Amino acid sequence: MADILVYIELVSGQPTQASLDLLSGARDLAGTSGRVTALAVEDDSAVDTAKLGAADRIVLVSGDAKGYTGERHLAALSEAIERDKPGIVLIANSYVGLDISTSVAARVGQPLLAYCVALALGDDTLRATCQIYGGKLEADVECNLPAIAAVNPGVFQASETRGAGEIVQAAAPVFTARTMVQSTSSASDTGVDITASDLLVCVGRGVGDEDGVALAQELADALGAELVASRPVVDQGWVEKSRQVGKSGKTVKPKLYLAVGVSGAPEHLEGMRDAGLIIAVNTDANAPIFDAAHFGTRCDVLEFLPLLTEKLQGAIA
Amino acid sequence: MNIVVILQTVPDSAEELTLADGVLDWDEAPLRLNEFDDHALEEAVLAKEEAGATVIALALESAGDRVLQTAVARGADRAVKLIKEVPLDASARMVAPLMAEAARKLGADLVVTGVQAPGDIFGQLAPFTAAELAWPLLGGAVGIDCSADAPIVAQEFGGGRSAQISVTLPAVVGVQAARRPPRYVSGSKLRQAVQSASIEKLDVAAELADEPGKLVTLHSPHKTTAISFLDDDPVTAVDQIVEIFRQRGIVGGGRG
Repeated sequence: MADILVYIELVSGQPTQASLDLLSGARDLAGTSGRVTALAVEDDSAVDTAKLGAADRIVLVSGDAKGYTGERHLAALSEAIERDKPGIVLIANSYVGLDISTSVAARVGQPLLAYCVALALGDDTLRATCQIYGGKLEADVECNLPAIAAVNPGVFQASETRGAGEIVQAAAPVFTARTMVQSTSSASDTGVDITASDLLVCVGRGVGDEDGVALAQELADALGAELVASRPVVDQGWVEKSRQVGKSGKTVKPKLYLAVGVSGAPEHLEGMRDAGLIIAVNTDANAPIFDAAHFGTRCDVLEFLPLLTEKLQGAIA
Repeated sequence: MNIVVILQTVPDSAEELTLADGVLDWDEAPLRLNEFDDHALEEAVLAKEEAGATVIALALESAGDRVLQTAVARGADRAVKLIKEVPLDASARMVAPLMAEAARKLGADLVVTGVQAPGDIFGQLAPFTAAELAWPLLGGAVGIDCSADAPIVAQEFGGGRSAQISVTLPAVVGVQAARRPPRYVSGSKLRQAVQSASIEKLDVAAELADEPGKLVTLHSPHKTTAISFLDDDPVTAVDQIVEIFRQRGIVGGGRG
């Protein structure tokens, strides 16, 4: 079996859940004969290595840099690949993963399989299923080893670990810095906390325009819910950023998630998949949101919204 | 400063996508400007308006003239069509050497394009182009401030985390979202651009890169949950949903 290197994304020294899930997936993929290495690039926080017990070896790349820059992490990961020559490199398909996975594939001259939702090892090949076109299609692909895979969050789940493996301190990467962190911020400090609400009404591109958003707001008010949105709606400026659900927004776990006109791109599902009750309204019968929902209807959202609002107002009165 | 914006047309994943023999039926595929490229163009025009720059829209010949004409109507100063025979399903890896050579020929200080496209099975265009050029890449950008010598790029990392990163030019930026929605172009402005915009043609010597992997087949996703479909009539669907709410205690006094 091939040796596997897993890039560990850190937030204030803590491995992200997606990275921990990936590490467990690597353990299963490597079997008993393959070695799993976790690689973390240090910044100004100490790395919590205790959580990386699924790895046989933990490589900490030195550095006291302020925050993440793609070029520093790219240099560190490339050096590790060229030094250790793993058969497979796994990177979580987060925003940081998106930033460096293709770059590192180009730097070391290896194929990249992106948006992976399933992985399998052949003798000299890596096979994957990749989720594309907003989750509407999947591609079965393969490439020769060594290779790099960017894996969607949620594909693997972290399991009990056996205690941290050997820890190796690697020197800071050598590169010419052309980018520099000026400041960092967290949007969680501002705006409404949508993660605290039990009831969420989410609007997607299918509501059409700001008038559609206003109808959804009326429904949210009638239900006593918070209004949230998918990325395209926020990008249009129809709903504020602090109400965005998904990869580039917040992860929520309400009792009710009523998705109206939401297509259900993988990046959105990542942020709401664990809601207690998901009801989807979308005229597109093939919309991926229906794969995550418990109940669904394909009726017109603009007809649906005022009808449900009126019904709820009557029911509550 | 020259800002080259790479624009790609892609199958519209909001529409039905038809498969033929395990691959996308490109003859039937409804094409649109990649939505992330749409934001990249807006961000480039915003940067030009704020700090002064020449915005050059660049697209493959197969994208069609309308994409470039629309870019001019939205504020691009030049429109350039890259002349090269490229398969419609060519991956970003394959196309990157062409885009990199074009960027050099156009004197780019900054190359801006979408952070991803919906069919990027083998990786994204921005990082591959950056690698070809040996320029730094900043992905996940949600704003570019070109008013200083070293532009400041707002980079998003998910979960509400972001950073302001300064970059020494030349560089490549993958745009996640512009600071404001892509501007609307009126029909009259577009007609004016169609009539007046000169679309330049650019030849490149670079060849397509080899495909790094093999697409075995495309298929619809395997269903992982057992959804219960309600009625498609909105009146009936609303009654059914209210009943579900009552059963779950969401409305009707049983909540909690």
